[in-house]
Amino acid sequence: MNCWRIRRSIPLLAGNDLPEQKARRLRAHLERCEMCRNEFRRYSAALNKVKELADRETPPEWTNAEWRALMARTTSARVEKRPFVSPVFGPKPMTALARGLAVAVPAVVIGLVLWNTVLKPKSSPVIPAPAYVRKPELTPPAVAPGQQDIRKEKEPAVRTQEKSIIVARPPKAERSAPRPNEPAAAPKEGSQDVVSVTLVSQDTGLKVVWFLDKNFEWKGEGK
Amino acid sequence: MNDRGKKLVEMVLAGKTEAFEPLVLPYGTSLLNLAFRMTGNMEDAKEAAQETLMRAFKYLRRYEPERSFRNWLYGILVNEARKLRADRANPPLPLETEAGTERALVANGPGPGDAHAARETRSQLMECLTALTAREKEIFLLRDIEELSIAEAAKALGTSSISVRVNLSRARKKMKEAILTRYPHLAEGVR
Repeated sequence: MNCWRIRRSIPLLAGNDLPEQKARRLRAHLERCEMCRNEFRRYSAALNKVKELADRETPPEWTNAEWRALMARTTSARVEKRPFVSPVFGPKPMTALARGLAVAVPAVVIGLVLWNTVLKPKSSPVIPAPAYVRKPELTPPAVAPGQQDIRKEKEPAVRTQEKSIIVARPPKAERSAPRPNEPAAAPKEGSQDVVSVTLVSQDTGLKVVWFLDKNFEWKGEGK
Repeated sequence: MNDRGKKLVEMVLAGKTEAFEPLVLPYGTSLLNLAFRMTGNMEDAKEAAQETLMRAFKYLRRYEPERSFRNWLYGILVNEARKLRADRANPPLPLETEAGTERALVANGPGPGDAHAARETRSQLMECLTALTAREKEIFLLRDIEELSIAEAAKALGTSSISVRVNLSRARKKMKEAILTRYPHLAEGVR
């Protein structure tokens, strides 16, 4: 440490107000540096003189009459009642507000994050297709000899891939068997009896609605 | 706070207001003395000390028994002295012109010679204190005259220990200059 830094700390050292480690470093410097040592002595002498002056002072006193009057006036007032202390937010309104905000703001942020990442419902949940749903065969069926293939005239040169799916009826044995995780007993009251499946072709916009009962039995078709 | 003090506090809070006087009596003089050094005149000092005791009575329920009662009173006094200073908004008059101070010194001194000596020392000390800002004076008085620790002074003043150290360092520097100007012989051996 240089003398300039030491001298900034000497006023506190003179009153024993420095941490022990720093005070030890300063004292080690004072042993080597006479100018800093003299400065420290001046501070110590001045502080001792101030304390001596303070001790020699005759302190002002209350007269008996003043003291009696003061006590009478003081004790005629009422002691403040026990303030309401909220078990959560504490005694002071501003403290309560600050604590409330400190709880509410992170809670809202965490809630928004959770909502966006985990809890937010998907707009179109993906239902895994049953085993009896098969994708359409992209190869057109063979045309009988002598029969004109009208599709060739209507179709564009580059054929677009069909995106819709075809839901085939499940095999009869599978239809009659109860599905896993589904009670074979009578349907509950209020449960859904009819399911509709809407199939839309992304290329042509053609829409077909199929109606199925609760056992996924084919009931009809609509548009 | 000792057991007697705690008992007195409990009695006051229980409605026995007569227990307040023995509770604050040991601190009456030191409160007035500190108030006088802070405000610089006896009239304001008495007003500040009175307000301190009245507020101490009113808000006694807020006192934490593990804390020093004297330091709690000093904290209230500092605030009252600040309020008075803000109300007055003018610097304290020099001590020599204050009749009230003169009367107090003469009335309390043991004899004419001692009273004269006391007035001399008070004048010197108070003049030195005028070199300090209000903040520095509060900190210097609490730490170096009333001998509160840095942490206690910080709590009484409602500030940080770092702020107390910074202001205390400045105050001691100014006081050193003021004292050595008035008592140059103190520096003779070290110059």
